[in-house]
Amino acid sequence: MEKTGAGVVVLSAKEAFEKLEKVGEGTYGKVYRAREKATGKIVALKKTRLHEDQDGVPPTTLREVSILRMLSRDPHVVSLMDVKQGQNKEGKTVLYLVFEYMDTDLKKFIRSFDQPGQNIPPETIKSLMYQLCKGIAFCHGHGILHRDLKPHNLLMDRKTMMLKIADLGLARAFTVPIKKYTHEILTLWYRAPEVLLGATHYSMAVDIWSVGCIFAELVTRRALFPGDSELQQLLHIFRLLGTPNEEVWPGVSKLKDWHEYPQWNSQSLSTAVPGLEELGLDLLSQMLEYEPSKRISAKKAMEHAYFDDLDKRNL
Amino acid sequence: MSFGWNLQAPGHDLHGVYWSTCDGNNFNNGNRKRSRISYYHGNSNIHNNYWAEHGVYSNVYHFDYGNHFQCDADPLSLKRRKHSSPICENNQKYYLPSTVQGNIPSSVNFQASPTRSNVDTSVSPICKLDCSIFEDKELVFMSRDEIDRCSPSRKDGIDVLRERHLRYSYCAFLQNLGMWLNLPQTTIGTAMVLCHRFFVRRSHACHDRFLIATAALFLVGKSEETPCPLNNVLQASSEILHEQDFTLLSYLLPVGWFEKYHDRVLEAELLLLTTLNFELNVEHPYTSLTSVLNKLDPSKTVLVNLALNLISKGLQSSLWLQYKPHHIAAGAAYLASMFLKIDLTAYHNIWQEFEATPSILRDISQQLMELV
Repeated sequence: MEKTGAGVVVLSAKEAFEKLEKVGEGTYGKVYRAREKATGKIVALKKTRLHEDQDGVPPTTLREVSILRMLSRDPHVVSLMDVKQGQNKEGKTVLYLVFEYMDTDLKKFIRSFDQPGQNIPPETIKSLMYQLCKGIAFCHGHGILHRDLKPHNLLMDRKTMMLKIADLGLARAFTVPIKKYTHEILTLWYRAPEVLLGATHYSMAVDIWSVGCIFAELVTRRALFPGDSELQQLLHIFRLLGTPNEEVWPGVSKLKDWHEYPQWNSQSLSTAVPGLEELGLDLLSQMLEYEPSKRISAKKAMEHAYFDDLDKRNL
Repeated sequence: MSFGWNLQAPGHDLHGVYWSTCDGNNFNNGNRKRSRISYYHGNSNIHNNYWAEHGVYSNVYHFDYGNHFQCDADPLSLKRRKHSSPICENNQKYYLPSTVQGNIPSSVNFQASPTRSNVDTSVSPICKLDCSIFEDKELVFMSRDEIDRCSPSRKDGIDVLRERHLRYSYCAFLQNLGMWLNLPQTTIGTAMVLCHRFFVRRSHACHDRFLIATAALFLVGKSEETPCPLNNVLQASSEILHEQDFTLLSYLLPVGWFEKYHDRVLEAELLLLTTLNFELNVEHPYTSLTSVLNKLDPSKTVLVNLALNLISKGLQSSLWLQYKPHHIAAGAAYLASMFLKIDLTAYHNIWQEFEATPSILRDISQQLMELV
């Protein structure tokens, strides 16, 4: 406990929160479900070790906090309530990011429909997709690329079916003209083809590709492109969408990691995503466009006819 | 007319031996000559003759880094503790006007040991003590007068001119450090702005500006994806500050000095973050300047280059705390057009594109004039 000059007592993370259980583990530390002692409110505490690599505050933490400062006011982005400083058993400084608590994530939610023939209701898929597009549109509108969208990073409240984008550790601000960005980002299954092919200049379209993959996964409850290496990932994509060429994607053969690949013709998306209505397939096809500049934007996706019959009042 | 940039604040004798010249218009990471007397002209371009004629390359930054590790002789800096302890002896109350108050960290949860300026802000009736650090979403811009009047350094006897000189000195240091580390100009510029934001909230008397600047550059490197290993940053800054080759320093300085310096920079990093409420996003005027001016005919390249140079000079001032990036871009374009006697009013709506009023243009160009 510390007293400031104004006589106000500042509680350390340990004094302010009671840890209830460990709910996950990230690169730089553990995530706990905790109770705020003063209010009884349940929160998520993301613990960040500072001196692990002798290089101070991890870049992911820096980016996550500074970006969430801008984005936390959107209902579809997880709310960062506070940052507290504390000390671990060895007396080293740790930072605790205090988030609102969400009881599940989209990965667990999809897995909960585990019985054969037990599908996620189409109206639920539509609502979740709209919320995801809305959250991503908000990020992109503020000049932020998420770069690591996957079901595990989309938090949910089971009761309200509210979806929130989380884990912005790989997110970054983009500027015009777009800079060269890290090649080694994004979980493989949701990675856009331009990133897999070594493009270092990329844009908001990488997030839209991920959204498309998540859309298909909501319908089928299986990953659309479950590659176990960068090459396998590309081949999965090419088998379904056809091997790209200069005609469908100008400049593709000039990308750093382009090689001669087996030639496949494109398949109908309805074969890979059976059960998705016509308008949904149209939206999905626009999200999975090869040429990044032709890929639909999040804002445009929200206006797509697929969402016309959705009650958007509470979203 | 000479554009030689004199960084020597009036009334201060800056007799330093560390020299560097810098062409602020270089945005590439070309080869940089790594020497203590570093003449850095950037990559040659077709306008170099123009700059040479107008003396842009003749300016020299003179700064005395020699006193970094001991207290200066003048009474002002005797207040600064050797190890930049965040606690200040002078514990007077200091109230900020509401316009400034909004930009001060508002969460007492999120403070290191309180400095005098922390204490002051926390007792102000305007400051909400229980609110989240993320409640003030937008950066609040302040007028130059507010910055000058309400700086925490004022209560420690540091006047406006002296503070301006201190600002110039850490900017020159950052420019040199960034160049040694081969960092992009935008990264260096962001570090400068973070230091300005820091010293609007904390007194120079309580914090070693070069330590804060070193931590800021290290921090920005990480947040802007141009990371530099901490040891490289520490080595380069030690060489600049001590004007000695790093291998010699281990003989000249006490045992364990490097480890201590390492820890102090990491402490300073945390202090910066908590003071700035993790607000690390800085927009620069380069983009809006080039996007508007490139619409003019190609013969105006010289105008763009001069305006970019003026923006780089402006980084040493408090302009980034006063105005939005597109306004700074407009002011730089306006001043450049006056220098070059180019009538930009012939281009319809150019100032509207920058969303800049005549008074904004006048004020920014006036402040930039003071720097050139």
